[in-house]
Amino acid sequence: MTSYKAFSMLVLAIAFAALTLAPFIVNQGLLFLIGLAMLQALFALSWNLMFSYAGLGSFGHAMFYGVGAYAVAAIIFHGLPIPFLAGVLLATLLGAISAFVIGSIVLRRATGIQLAVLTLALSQLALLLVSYTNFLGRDDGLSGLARPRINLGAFVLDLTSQTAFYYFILAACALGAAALLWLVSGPIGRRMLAVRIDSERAAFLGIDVRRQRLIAFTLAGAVAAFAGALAAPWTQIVSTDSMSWLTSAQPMLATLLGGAGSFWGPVIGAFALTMVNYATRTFAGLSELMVGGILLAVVMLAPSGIAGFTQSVARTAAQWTKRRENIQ
Amino acid sequence: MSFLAASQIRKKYGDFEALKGVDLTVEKAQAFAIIGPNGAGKTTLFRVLTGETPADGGSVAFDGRDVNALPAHQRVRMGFGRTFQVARIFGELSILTNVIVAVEARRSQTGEPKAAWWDWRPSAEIRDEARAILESVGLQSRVDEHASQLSHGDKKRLEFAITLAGRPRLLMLDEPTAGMSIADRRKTAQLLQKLKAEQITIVMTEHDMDIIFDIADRLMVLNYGEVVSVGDPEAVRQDETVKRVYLGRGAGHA
Amino acid sequence: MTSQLSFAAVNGIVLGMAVFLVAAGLTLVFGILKIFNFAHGAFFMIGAYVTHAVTGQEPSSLPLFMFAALVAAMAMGALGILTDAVVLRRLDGVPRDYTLIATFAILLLCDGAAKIVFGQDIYTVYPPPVLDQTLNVGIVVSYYSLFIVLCGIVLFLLLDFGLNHLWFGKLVQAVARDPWMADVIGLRVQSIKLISVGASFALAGLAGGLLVANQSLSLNLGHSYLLLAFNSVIVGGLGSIRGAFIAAIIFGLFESFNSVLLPSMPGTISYAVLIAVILWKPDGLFPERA
Repeated sequence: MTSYKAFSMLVLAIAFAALTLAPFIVNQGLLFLIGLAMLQALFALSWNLMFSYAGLGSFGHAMFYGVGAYAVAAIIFHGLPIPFLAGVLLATLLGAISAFVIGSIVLRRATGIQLAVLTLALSQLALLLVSYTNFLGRDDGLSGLARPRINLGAFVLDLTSQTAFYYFILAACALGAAALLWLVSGPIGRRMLAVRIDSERAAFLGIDVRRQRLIAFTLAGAVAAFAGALAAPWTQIVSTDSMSWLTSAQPMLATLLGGAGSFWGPVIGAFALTMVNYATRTFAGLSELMVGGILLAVVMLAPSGIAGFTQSVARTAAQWTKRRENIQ
Repeated sequence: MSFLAASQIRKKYGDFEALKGVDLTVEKAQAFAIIGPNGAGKTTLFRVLTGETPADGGSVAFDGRDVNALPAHQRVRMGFGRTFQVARIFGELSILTNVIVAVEARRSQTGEPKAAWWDWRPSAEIRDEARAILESVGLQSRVDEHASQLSHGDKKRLEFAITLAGRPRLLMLDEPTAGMSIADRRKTAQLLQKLKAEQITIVMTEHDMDIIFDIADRLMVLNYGEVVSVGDPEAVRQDETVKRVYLGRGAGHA
Repeated sequence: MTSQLSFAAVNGIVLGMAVFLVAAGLTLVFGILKIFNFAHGAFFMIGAYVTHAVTGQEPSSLPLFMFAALVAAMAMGALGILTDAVVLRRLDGVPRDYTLIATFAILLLCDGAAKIVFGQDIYTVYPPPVLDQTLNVGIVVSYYSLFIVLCGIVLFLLLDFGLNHLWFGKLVQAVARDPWMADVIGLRVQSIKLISVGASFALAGLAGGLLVANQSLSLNLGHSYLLLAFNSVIVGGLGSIRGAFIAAIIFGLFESFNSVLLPSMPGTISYAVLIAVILWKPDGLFPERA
């Protein structure tokens, strides 16, 4: 177990080093995709906070991603006098507030299929409303978004170049992931897990089940909005696609692919998805076939995903070595 | 005022009347057993008392307070503790974590000291408390195992441990020895005696008559959603109606 | 205004029937497998392509058009049986969120396959000449619309009668209610499930075939119907044919009046209705008895 932990730390360190060195190794096109993958990974982590730690399968998580993306995009597009970092903060806050409001209504009655369809419907409704709003560019969205220069008093952080903004995303995503990891490893995370595993038993420990779910839903909305807020200046365009059901599906795919049971599973899944999409980009339809096929195989054969699979392999290996030591 | 008092509890499932106006009073530090044939309404009564199911009529008061409108988790915060007929534990977590979750849940409600806000690990104090509770139910040697790997009897013990972690003043036990081996039953009986000695009030349903006569101060017999008899266990045992509806037919273990 | 409203009412009923054609198979498969099939829309879309392949752009006659829709139904039924045998029946005991995601994976597979096989071009199919006329009774209604309404009503009556009065329908209901018990009393549960799942998918194909005319046939076909069908199945009470029928009409009418009374925001009212109903009655208007 401890050796597995050390192994994960090592992998994590190597991955972080690779991401840090990426701008020196890969071309700008690929760098753009890696940046997107990091944002998708954070988005997926936020979805998994609801799914694995509170037992809520939302099918409309993109609406919060969209809230964040549109908030920052509107500030940049309309030149509102709000500094970039404050804008990101505001977007995150908006995500939290909208998730809190929606969660307090939705979680009152719905779990399971009702929750899935209700969240899907709400996100579609949000998408429609955005597409009717002139301020948000209607169906076309907001494009030509300039990347910011951040004035920190003592010096100016120029993030207009792709490489500079890449490092900004890397730092922000690492920070976001660390915050989530800290949260789920602590008492709140343990309480949420209890709610997901057996909500009735949790209630009989005095845990307010609905409150825990609402906390998870709200925090997930905030983190999704944060990811969306960073995505807007990265892609430099925000459209209603960012709120569509296909966007909602991305974190689910990533989580299931990577493994819902492990904290880093969604991250692995998000990068795996990016790789599949990149590798199949020239052949229309192939990426859906691949992703659908892999996902189906994962659900049917290895519900714990890539991370769970390596974990169980590691465990079996450990047992083997132990047994061999015993024999000798 | 009794510690736990229920009056005229009614509950219908469709056309079926599961409880037809049940009264019940339990005094502090008493052990109160509810028996009755399958389908008599024991579990339904339990669910109403604990707050899992709302009753269609009647009222429940605990420690002098009307708790009708309170959901389960708030009743727990007032001092309810509950185990289920088939033990419900957090199978994916380690045995120790099961109890830590329960201890943390209690502490966050009572305002007892917790770990520093930034520290994700449970404090040494919490871990020690959890270990002590596990020791009291005899699971101290297996704290790191996954709870799902425990045997049926051990799961019941773990469930006991996480219930005790809430420091309940009233323990609601649904068939605490169901499906246990004879040795495990004896251990559970000892544990219940110990809890009684600590002035904890116990309400339980149970099939094992030895356990009931060993533990219970008062006994209630339920049949078709109605109270057939209630009183001192010996007196209930002698009751003719009770013999007819219940003890008479289960000859073997009665 | 009055004529506009009555026009909207007629349109609403036509849309409602079209939605019911899609929703029927979806609710049937839920009733039997307790699986909410996200892939239903993909089978609908493939059914439409199959029909196009048989009829071409201009179906020469109504029988040919019907025949094409039947071919689509049979093809999708066969695909459904395959899907059940390979995937769906293995999802017994898998947590519900995972089964939802599994059907989503099937949706992706179908989408990818359709992209490769049918390409990204947009096709058009016209109604057969008999139906390509309009009727003027104060308001103008196309024969094709009336045909859709007729199809919807006939399908509803067939399903309702079949499930409640025919021997096989009763078997299906028994399996849907309590598969374990059905197994105990000697019903061949797996075969009954297989046939009903095949039938549900065939209904998706049939709907695709019948509704393909007058639409632009692309990979996005059915997205609008599909969400309304999802909503109808949920609001109607998962697994209930009558519920889906009534809910489909309700949604059709709301959608249609939405475009007349609130033209600047089409499509919003049905979502508002759905959200209100789920919050009011999470199990839908006509929940199946457990």
